[in-house]
Amino acid sequence: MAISESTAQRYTAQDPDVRLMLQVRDDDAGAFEELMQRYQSRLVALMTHLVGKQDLAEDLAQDVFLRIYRARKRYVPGSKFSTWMYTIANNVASNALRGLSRRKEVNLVGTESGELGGNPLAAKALAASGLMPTRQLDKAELSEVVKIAVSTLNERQRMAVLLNKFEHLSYEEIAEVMEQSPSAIKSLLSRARANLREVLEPYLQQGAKL
Amino acid sequence: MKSSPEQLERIVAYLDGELSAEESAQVEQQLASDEQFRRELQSAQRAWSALDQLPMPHVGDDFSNTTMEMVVDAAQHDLEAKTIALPIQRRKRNTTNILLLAVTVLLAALMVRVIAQNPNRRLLADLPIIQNVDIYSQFESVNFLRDLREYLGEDVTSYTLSAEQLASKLEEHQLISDSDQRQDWLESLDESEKTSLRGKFNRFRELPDSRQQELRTLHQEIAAADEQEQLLPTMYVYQQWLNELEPSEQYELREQPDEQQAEDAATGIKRFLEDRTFELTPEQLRDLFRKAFPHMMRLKRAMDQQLESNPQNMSPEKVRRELMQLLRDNPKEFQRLQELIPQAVPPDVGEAFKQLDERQQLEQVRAWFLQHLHQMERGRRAGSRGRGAARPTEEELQNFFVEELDPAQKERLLALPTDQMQQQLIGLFQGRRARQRWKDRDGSPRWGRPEDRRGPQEGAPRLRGQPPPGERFGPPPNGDRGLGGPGRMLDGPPRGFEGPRGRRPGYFEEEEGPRRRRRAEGPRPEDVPPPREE
Repeated sequence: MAISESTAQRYTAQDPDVRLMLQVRDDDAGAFEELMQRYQSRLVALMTHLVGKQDLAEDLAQDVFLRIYRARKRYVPGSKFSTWMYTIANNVASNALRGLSRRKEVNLVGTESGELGGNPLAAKALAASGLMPTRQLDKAELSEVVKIAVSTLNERQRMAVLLNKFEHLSYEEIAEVMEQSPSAIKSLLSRARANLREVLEPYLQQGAKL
Repeated sequence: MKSSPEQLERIVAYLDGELSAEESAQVEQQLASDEQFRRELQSAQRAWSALDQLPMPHVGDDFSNTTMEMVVDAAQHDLEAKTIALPIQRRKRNTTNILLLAVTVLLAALMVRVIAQNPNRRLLADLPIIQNVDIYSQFESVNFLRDLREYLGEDVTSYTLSAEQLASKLEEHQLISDSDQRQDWLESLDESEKTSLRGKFNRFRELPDSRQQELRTLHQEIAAADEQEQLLPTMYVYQQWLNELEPSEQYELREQPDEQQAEDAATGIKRFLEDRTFELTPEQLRDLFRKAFPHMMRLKRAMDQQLESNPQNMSPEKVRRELMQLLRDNPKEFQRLQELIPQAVPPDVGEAFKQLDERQQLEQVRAWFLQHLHQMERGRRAGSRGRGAARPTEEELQNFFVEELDPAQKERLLALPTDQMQQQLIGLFQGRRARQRWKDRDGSPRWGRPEDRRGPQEGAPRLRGQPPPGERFGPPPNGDRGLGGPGRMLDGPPRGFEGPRGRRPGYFEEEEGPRRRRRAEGPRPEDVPPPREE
């Protein structure tokens, strides 16, 4: 879709990262490095929670940065820079997860319906962790439970939750990243949060020893 | 009872701020009246907040390094691809050329960035700048060296650097400027040289990126200059002279515009060379007093008494007045001195002394006299006082700030953190006072104007209220002097050394083998005195 001149100007004026990316387009290596420094931790964190392994997540994050660099000459600011970057990240992560799924390397992926009740893996994982909701958890234990809870979400739910919770993207922006409608994202997030609550609620009722 | 999916959707959208004002108002109304709805919302909120406990992975330095390396590779491939594609894109030659240039620039810039992530590679990449960081930090552009060379007017290099020293410096510069030879040069350093280099490297790394880039540009400018062979020796001479200045004096000098800085430096260097001609070692000075000044003992005793009772009274001006009076009252004594002095000092000094006119000779006698008194004073103090200028009081600093600084300086200082502001203010204060003292004595700053050079005016060479410099400036005029005296610079620590002389650009402290050693404890021109404003 062609991006109008006024849209490009608006995002250039509003988003400093867009301006940096325009410098990258003009072969400014310093600008690229600055963008990388700004986003690398967040991107690796996002990828880690998506694929479950940090080393793989770092590889994927590097792939994202490389794609950004390669796409620099075609870059036209049609959205916030972060939205554009997470769109690339979403594609990279989806491809990787498809590959992993074929090799059955991911074993903590929820069902497409997103209902925990239909996902015995989540219950198994929590049981295997020994973190039963019968006692107060300490911070590290709660962290582990949350990690498992997130891993029970399906790929799309996880992406939406992570973008919403940690990257503070609006429904509209998440919709753009994931190429869906905002209302679909609204439903997706609602289901994801219902799943999270279902897993976490028993532990949260006990409280955590923070 | 769990809420319906639609209800949960509303709750979630409400929590995410995604509802319209009207929808939000409806939710809030329900919250106020519906206990179950409220619990649902709180429960969803708790689960959402729990996500804050999700562990966040740490990204190490390797990640940035390898990512940048990958990008450099990509840039390289782009370049190759475009090179291959060139023949079939002749119609777009201009466009392609521009792209090629852009990619090449990017590639180079990225390589610099990658290198910057690795200290060893960075050391090698910036070696010529790091090795010269102290002197490069003292001026802004290659034009300063051009101006300085022009102001110096004659080949002062031959007076300050031996042919061997100069050849060695130039050879070193050539080696470290050649990226293929840097590693070999680095490996040839001994431990003390490596320590010195490490110090310089650290000082370089402490500079802001923008300043580092300026120094790289300066190095490139010098390397690209047609007259590089003349500019480099000029730079070395300048550095040697700077060694003799206090940090506050260096700072004052740096604060001037390039051309003024060059003019003042040239004047200072020339004057220093003149002064050095008459520099005597403590032994030679004692010898001079023993042989030539016995009849001046009356004055000496008077001076000694004053010195004993109150060393602060021994002002150069008082010494000058009393000495002038004494010699004016006894013209024959002065004639006798004119005969005795050339016999009591080393031959080259004696010859130079004979070349001076009468007034200059009188000034030189006064200078030696003061030097002798300072030597005695120093012996009395026995190292109990440093040689730096006295630290000003708070009140002095306040008055100085209010009355003597211009608005731009005040603004710059006020923008600094308190400790840095204090440090820079003291540096400015001491530098300004030092210049005032020189003006009071000579009518010109220490590095003065050409017309103020020693000669007809009343001014004492090497009068800084301090003992003569512990290190020699350049090679000795003949083989008899220099290496054995206080001015020896190539053979161990100088006599009369009173501890570190502040952080100054350093060269030629000693020599071992074909390459001179640099100071193990390097100078800090960017540290004290305060750095030039970025």
